[in-house]
Amino acid sequence: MTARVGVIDYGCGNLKSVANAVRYVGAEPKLVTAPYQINQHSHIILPGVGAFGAASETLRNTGFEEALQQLHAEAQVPILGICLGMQLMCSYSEEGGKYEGFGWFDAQVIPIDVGTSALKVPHMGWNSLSIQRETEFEGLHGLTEKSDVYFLHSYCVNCSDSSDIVATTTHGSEFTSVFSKGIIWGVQFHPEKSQITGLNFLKAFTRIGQD
Amino acid sequence: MLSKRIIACLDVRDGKLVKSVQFVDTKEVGDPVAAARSYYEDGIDELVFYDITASSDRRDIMIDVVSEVASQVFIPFSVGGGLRSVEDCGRVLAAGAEKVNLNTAAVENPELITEVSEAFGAQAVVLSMDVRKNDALAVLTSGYEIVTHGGRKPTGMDAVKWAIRGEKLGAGELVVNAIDTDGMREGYELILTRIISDSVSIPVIASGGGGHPEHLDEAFTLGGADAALVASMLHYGDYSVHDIKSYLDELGLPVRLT
Repeated sequence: MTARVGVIDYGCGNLKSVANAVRYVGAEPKLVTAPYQINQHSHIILPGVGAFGAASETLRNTGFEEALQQLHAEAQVPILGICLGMQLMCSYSEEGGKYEGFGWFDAQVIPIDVGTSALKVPHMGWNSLSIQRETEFEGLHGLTEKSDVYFLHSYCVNCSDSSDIVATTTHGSEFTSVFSKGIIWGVQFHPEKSQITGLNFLKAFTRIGQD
Repeated sequence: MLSKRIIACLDVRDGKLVKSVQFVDTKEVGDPVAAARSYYEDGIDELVFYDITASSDRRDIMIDVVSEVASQVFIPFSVGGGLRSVEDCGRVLAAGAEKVNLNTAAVENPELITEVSEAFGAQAVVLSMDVRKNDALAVLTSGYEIVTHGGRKPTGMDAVKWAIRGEKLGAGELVVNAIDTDGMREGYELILTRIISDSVSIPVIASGGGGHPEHLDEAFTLGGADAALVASMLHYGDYSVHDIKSYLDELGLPVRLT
């Protein structure tokens, strides 16, 4: 059966590349423009670019957060957060103040700390993953220490519960670049922009529960 | 560790890939979507398309090219040329581009950088500067001048001051395109690249003059660039992306190997 992948559209920027990549790996993408449509999909992707505060407020005001919380509580549909989407799954973010996230992961979103190095923020470009654990799903298929993935962010995830961490990346300091808890996944990098590594990851995600 | 990016530059006119030498003599060298796809499969890190279509009523062809590229190529890419407003930028971003390149329009209307940055985020705004050496004008403290209209029009603006101002206005990246070395394939303008990368904190992309893999090594190490644009050396088949990356990898530079 073809996976029907709902991509949450809450006005957070361009979702076309995510939809294109989902289609490319053989699943059927559909933009979810209203909370009531959230139950019509086998998988959900929560993308996002921009500021945490504005995004979380929009999700709350539009009813998307309530719908996502319900979906999360039912624990039937795999959910993937990409970039800001991953950060929204955390307890809170320090970006532009202190804003509450969904609280699905015991983690904080903090500024990238490059210390006194000459490294630049935003962390933009191709960087590597340091794999911390295997997972029960094939979600890690294609994610290896050797293949770089594409990042673009100024804030990063710091997990309090190390068992949630799937992979870390270092830019000045080490941060969580992939986390998962059961069928809930978050990636700081952009799988839709990470060539074959990213496409393999998306393919594996859209196959969760399909076989 | 963050890799040094290699970006293939594709000039497009009326939907066809062209290559210019010092911005004047343009030749058709192929189909931009096929070229993009081929470089993508060979491991390019990013692509930039410059639309050099002369007439504005044929600009829609570029939107089709962007959409087609976005459905086949899953790496970041940007589009420049003829973008004069937030609406123009919005159209190419909606078609699937990751970033827009602003050049002449930003020189004529610097506020455009801020407007586009506020609308789509600084990460989506690349300020592309065409630069020519000019020691004759005292106001040019760096000895480098911003030129526009494909290098034909001097502006009297100092290149380093413009780079710093571009960052303040909201650009997320800078392309430093040296007109004097463009298409000559004799190496990047290393002094220019270095003084600009030392003056700003956003990523700097060296452009103009890459002809051999050692030129990229120079741009990264001596020029301090975060990324380098390549055109001729790929378009004419002298080197593959893989050749360039293998060379840099052997020197110990961080590159993404596929």
